[in-house]
Amino acid sequence: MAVPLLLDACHSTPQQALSRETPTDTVWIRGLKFVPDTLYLSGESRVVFINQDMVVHNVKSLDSSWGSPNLPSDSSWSFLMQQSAAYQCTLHPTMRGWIIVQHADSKH
Amino acid sequence: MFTKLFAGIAMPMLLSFTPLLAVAQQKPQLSDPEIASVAVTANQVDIAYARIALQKSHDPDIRNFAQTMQRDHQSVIKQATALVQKLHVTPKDNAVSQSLRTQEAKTSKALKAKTGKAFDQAYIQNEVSYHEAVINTVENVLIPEAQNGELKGLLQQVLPVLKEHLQHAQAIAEKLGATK
Repeated sequence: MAVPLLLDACHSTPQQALSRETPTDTVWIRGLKFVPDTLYLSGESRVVFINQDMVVHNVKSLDSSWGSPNLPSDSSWSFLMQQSAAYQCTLHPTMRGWIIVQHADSKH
Repeated sequence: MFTKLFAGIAMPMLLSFTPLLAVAQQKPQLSDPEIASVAVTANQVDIAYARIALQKSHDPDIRNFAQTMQRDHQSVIKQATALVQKLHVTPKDNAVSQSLRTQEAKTSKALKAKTGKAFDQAYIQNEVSYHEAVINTVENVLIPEAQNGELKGLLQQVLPVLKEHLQHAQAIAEKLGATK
């Protein structure tokens, strides 16, 4: 997978370091949108947010349980998603995204 | 009495008026150095408005918006400056850039005369009008007239930024009861 190579180490804590066992998904930030705006995960997964815009963004859950620092252009940040969440860029509040975590026991 | 009434009516018109709408309709022929000048000036103007807002407003939505305007428009200027240096283009002053600066001086004066909620409403109304006018000009004048592909590309990248700013400003205007 090429995506982990793009990770900015400054935005990763040891607990957030990528593990080989944890699947990784990517949300691109471009054109003032989260792409995809809805990401479906098969269980707990690490999600990498990569800012490709010329302006600074952040990624914060609407319930304030998690959030990134400000992400300059061409930087990234990752977080281990354990629960479904709605999130936004608080600098550009019209930018919204959703993470849907589908746990094995919720598939039946 | 009449003067007082007239002043109350005239102020919102002054703040919402922008020569850019007229410019977009007239479709002036601009060279790439002139387009670069208009692009940088238009960003500088909105930074000037944001600075006034950060000096005068205590409203958290207005302050968050103004900080975003300052940060984003500085990013655009940085990108535009890097591009013109790479292309060896010197931005050339022109009638559109001059009219933007003239209007900025008038609007800033009007904004500085207001306080409290009246300021917040006037600032955000002006942001809605200004972004509408700039989007119109970028879409209908600057992008079609830009000759250099990279300059055109930069302007195309700026459009979604401006459109998000407009939606953000409209949401705050509605919340503050400042819609037109």
